[in-house]
Amino acid sequence: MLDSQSWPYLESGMWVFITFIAYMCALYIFRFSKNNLMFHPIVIAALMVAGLCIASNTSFADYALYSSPMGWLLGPITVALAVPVYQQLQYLIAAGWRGFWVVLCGGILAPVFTILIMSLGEFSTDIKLSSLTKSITTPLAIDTANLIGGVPELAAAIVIITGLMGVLLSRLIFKLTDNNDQRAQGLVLGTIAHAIGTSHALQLSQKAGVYSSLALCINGLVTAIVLPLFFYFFGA
Amino acid sequence: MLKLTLSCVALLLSWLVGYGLSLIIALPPALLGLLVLFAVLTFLGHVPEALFDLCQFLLRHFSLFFIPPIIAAWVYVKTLQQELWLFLLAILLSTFLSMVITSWLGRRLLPKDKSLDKANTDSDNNA
Repeated sequence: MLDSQSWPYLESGMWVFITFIAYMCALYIFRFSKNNLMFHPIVIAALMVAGLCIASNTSFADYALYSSPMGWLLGPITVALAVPVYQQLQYLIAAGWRGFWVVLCGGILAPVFTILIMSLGEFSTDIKLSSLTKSITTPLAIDTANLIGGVPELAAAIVIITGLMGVLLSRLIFKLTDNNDQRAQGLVLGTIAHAIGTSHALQLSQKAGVYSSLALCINGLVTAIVLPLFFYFFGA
Repeated sequence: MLKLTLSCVALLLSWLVGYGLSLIIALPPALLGLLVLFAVLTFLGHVPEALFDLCQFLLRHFSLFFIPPIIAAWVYVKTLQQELWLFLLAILLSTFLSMVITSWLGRRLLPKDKSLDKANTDSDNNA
């Protein structure tokens, strides 16, 4: 993959810069499309970057390596979620236990459905274990997958795909279930589509964003605590 | 500028403390970091303005940091080959089902929004 032993500063800097520019263009396109979900910035930016990789004959694996400094920031940015949660604590108390049960149900159903559907096909245990963390944010999923014996890279991939699908499906689902309560919308996005859903919820409204952050934290917390304990006691 | 730097340091420090704790407690570092920052804010009793601005900015552009993992995800998922479409279908279906149920539950279970309530009763009175 790499010719020299040293870190490729130039390529790395260049690709991080390209990713920034692609994201800014994607934001502009999203606004221009009047916030059409099919033009979600994360989708457009990823397609642009992928296109540039192909055009410049850079393999996706190389791009992943070059852009890895951005990945180091995912952890500290997840920590930043403490701020909206702290600020909106009164809303959390207002939603009370009922909101908590909603998140808990969603958090349990998501992996259970995945396992059920996957047991219809012939998937390896690796894939099944790695998909248990599909609805919690990437930094948490990677660590949890490690603890329960899944494959961290695969877990991250599944989390990202789930988040993207969740955001793209969200409008349809809110229409289907006649959900026009911003708080409930936030809970759904945060519970199922984790951080990607939360960044989308923050664009919908401040209130949706807060509920989404709360759901993300609760589901992340519960899944990250329960799954390893579950495997510890009922060891697979 | 100083305050902004301090806020960045505060975030990184919380994460580092979380990382340190994760060596003792078997929980993800980012989660522990979040709890550490939350505890500090509770202790302070308010969110410093610069920290608030920084966090809001970072979280609004959270998606940016998911672009590299998306490309990396594709590299890994492609190795599934003939299972690929079934795999994507399984994720799509389970995401859809769990979202529908969560959305339905959220709509049902959440207590009425007070701000909305007020607006409704007002219009009822007028009618």
